[in-house]
Amino acid sequence: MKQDLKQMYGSTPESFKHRVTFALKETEEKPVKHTVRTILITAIIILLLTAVAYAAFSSQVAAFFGKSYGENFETWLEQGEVSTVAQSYTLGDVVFTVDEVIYRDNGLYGVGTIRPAQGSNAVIISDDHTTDEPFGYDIHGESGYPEEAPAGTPTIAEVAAEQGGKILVVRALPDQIGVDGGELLSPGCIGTSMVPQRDGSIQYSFEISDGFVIEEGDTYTISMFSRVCEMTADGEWLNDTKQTATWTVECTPEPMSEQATEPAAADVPVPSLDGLTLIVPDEYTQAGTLPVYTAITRDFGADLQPDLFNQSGIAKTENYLITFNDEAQLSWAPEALFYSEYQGTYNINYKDTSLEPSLAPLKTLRHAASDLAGDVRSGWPDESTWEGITLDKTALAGITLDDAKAKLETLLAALNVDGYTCAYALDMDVARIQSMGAVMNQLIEENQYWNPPILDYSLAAESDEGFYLYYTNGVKTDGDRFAVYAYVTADGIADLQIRDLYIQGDIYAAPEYLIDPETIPAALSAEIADSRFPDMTISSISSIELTYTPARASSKADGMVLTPAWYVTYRDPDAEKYNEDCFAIFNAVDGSLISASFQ
Amino acid sequence: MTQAEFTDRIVAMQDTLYRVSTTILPQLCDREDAVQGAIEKAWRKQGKLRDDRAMHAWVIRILINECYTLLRRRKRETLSDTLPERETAPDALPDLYELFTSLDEKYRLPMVLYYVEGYSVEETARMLKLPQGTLKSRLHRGRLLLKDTLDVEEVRA
Repeated sequence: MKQDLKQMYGSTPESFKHRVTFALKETEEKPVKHTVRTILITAIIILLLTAVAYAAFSSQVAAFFGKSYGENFETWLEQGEVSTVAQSYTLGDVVFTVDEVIYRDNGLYGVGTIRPAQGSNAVIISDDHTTDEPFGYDIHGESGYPEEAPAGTPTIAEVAAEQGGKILVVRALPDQIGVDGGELLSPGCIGTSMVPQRDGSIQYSFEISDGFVIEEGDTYTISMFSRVCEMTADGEWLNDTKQTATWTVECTPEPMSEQATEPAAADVPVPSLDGLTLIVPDEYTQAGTLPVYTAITRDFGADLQPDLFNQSGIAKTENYLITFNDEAQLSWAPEALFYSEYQGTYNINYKDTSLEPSLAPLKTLRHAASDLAGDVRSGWPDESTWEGITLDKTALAGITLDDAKAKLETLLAALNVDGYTCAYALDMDVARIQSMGAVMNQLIEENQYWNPPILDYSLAAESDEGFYLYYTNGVKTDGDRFAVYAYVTADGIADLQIRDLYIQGDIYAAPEYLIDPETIPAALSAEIADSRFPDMTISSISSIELTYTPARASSKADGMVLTPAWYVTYRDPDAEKYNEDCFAIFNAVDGSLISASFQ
Repeated sequence: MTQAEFTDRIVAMQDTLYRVSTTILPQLCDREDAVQGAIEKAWRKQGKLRDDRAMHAWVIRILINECYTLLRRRKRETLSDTLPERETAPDALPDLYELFTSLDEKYRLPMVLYYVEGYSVEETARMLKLPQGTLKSRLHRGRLLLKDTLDVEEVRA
């Protein structure tokens, strides 16, 4: 068996050996300076000096995340600000508690407990678990490493039967955050975990790192979403028993100790400015500053006019989705709007016959052409796939590039989406649609996990030809929160995505000057040194651009603003290796870091 | 331990490090990241190692932690319909490898450490932070699952 299993892995790849060599080389450059004896003595001295501080360092949140992410992250959290919250909410037979929250560098990290209410004989289970799993064991490794339940451990269903209680599926997560009484905002991404405990309770965690929503403040308001639903012993949800609630938690984190507020910063060298591109608008060149604008929350659902997109008539209206008679679909959220053409359906499980067929709308060829062009712009699945494909023609069947831009800009004006200009265009004629379509079909066939439909691109006709357009408005964030993509044919817009989080309002403030861009590289180095990845280095900075980004107003009660910001494009060694860029966004008015790849 | 001794020991166990990381992580680039992280951590924390003779098991433990940290991060980042396929070396035995990776991970790691790398039950249990009884039952179960394909041998304590 041993030989078989050894051969099974094959030889150790050269790239792996190189990485081992590289890592060992690094150890030569980072010698361990202390002998064991010195370390022991130092440890004793530190213990004597900081005996009081050590007690204050005991944080549930830091310990929880330390198990998942390691000691460095635990230490990093311990240098943040902590609040023992202990606020609870009872929903039906279940009590939800937020136990402790840590604020650190535009992020909130918390742990809480969910338990059956006193006197209840219910058994609770998270929606990631099943009733036939052992009661009270973290077999999924939600807290870092999977636990093994001893043989004979009763299942959740068995415990419920023994207690004569209901099985309740529970979930808790924060859905909005407010700072110092300001507007409650939804983060872009929330990490959560649910860890079963031996006593039948569930310990849950949440982590939110989003500089646009969370900034340094005194008091944080966390809007918590809770859900309880009864489940049968066979694991079937009884949806008519579902109860949900949103409740708020106020917390005022404090530094864990004086020592904790002054972490020893790692030494991240400030990169050279040679070859760096500084991009600033003319207004800044002339005035040396830019105004801060109020940001008005967008709501595309208000006064929506479906006939702006399609005149075939409405076949069906559901929540946030309109299906037209020609099968095209219009959907929206407050900050985004999507319109796409479809024709017919396809089985999304066509690659796995063991699964029940599940039908989804089938995109038209021009919609598919739009997706292909979008892949070229974003370099997906990799840039070499579409190498050499650039804007070639400015006139296609029945439409020119200028016509296409005019059609899109007319629609944007009707939607009150202002300030956007064309940043990218690609012509998609019949030959290009067919050749790129063939490549995409091959990729789909080769990858067992991809399930987009295989389309017959040989059927592409002149009516499918169009221009793919990408528009931006100079507001930059950690993703495409402000962007327009469209595929415009002679017949009109076949595919459209608009994301426009805020409308620019009146001038909120007129700062006399902005932070000097020459200070930004040093600020970036300092922020990395203080981050959860202090060992990271900066290989190069390619550009620093003065742009706008959303942020909370200086007076939190005033809501959000669009503030001038320095957007830094840089690379660390990993990004260099994968030919990818990293970013960091600094508020150009006060110099604070708003968002970055390393957060 | 000197830097040269440390280097010699790591180089001597690099095949083991490859197999252990391959047992957990499907992608080669992640295995490389994990091994680099593990070596750096092991070097920085070698003062915590009380007995140099236990270095192999200690480094493997650090590597396993690194792998799980990466795996956890990847799960958060990756959409379910874009899960990567497992990457194997050109001279690997694909059928056996596929069969082995179809086993639950809780069986794979003990089997690799015990059968392939030759650690004792006690050493393997310590590395995986498992009771010896649990480890033995996992090895037993893993053998049963592969019994039609491979010769089996008894667990040696």
